[in-house]
Amino acid sequence: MSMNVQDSPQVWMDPSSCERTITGGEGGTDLAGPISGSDISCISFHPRGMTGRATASRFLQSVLHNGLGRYVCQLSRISLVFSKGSQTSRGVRDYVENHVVDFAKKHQGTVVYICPRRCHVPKVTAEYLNGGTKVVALNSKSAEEIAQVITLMANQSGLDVIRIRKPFHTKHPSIQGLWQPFVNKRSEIGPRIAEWKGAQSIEDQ
Amino acid sequence: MAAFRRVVRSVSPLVSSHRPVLSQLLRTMSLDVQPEPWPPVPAWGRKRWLRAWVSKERHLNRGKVPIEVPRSQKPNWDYDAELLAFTSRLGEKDARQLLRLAFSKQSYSGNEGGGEQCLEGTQLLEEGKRLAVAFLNRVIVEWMPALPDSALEALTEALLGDEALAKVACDLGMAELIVDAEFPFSKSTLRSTVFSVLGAIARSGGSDRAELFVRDFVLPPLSWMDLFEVWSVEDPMAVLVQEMAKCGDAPPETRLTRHTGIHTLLPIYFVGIYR
Repeated sequence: MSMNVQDSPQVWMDPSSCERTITGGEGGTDLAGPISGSDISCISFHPRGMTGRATASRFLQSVLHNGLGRYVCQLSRISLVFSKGSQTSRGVRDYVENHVVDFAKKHQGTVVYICPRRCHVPKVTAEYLNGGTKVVALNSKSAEEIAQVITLMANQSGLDVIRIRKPFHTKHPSIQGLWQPFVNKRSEIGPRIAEWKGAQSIEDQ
Repeated sequence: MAAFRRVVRSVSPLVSSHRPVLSQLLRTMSLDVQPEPWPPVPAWGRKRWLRAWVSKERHLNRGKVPIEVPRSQKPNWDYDAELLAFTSRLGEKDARQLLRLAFSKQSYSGNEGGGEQCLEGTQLLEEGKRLAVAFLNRVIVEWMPALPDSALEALTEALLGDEALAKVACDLGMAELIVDAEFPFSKSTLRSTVFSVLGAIARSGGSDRAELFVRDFVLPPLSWMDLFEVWSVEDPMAVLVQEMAKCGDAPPETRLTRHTGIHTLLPIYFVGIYR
């Protein structure tokens, strides 16, 4: 579409530019941005009940020990599917012409695929390192709004955005261990404790 | 379809007795007026076959697992761009050519008859493995100097095991970049890929960069790893005696400090071990 897109090495332009499909394997799968059904992790939001059990939920977790080791942006690639002429894609065209190269330069670990083809609903598909996929429709959005959407995608971890059961999580819920008859009882033979003056008074209480 | 419906209706008027009276009247008078179908047919047609088709598909596909397709066979895949993104993700832009080699597996390059490539790939793997083991041993001994040798070995094995390294490979996006005949990749393949990548980083950016990689991505599970889950001690007392002998101490002394419920099914004895 525009030459400056191809300057950045991560931005990959569909060479056939319109209505052509990009195929990796044999047989033409007509898909530029959207991903087949098996890829999208389906979470059902059916209002089956009013209790917390009815909705999908998970524990608090992080990916790739982010926070312990080095930070790695989890967004691996985004595909922008938009139409060259349609009114609904106007904001996306603006974004592609003016902002997408900046995004690609800032997030060098993310590959940006630009797929112009005839469509009514322009879409952005984000794929994360953990295999998660997220599709957002961009129809009638301005370039700024699209930038917001894509920045949000870049900052997310790719884990399902569902209810988190508790705001904390631990792999070792108990340090003390199982109860046994001597839990919190004074040691009687230990040489150090016998010398400890305060031990008697604590037991009296 | 509409003609068919008309025929059916004219043949069996009793089937749809809920039809409005006017249209029934028109049909019985055999006038040339088409009655409105009831219930109204949507513009896209009434796909009466759909429900049956879906249920039949479900029946045929029951118990089948959907086939996994490698990412490279799906649309929007450019290997060079992906590799470049991977190198910038790790901050190792110089290692691109070596990483390309590290990701092409033996089974694949063997088909093309690249004997030298195979050899170099194996060298990378060995180099990375050696580096990872040496670094982990050094760091763990530094942090926990009193750790027995067998425990150190167990910890290193757990950190560099199939499970742990396969997770690292998937989380960093290495699994998508592997060029191999087999798919889905086994955990050992993913593990060896991590080692090859490590070797490539060491060769291009120096061993410091490779050690940083190990520190950031391989070492963190140590913070929540339970030592006695990975290290099964056969004879703890013997290990203790041995370790104390190493320090030049006398063998430990044991005393029975507490006991309760001796005559029950669940007696408890507490044995104190003293230096």
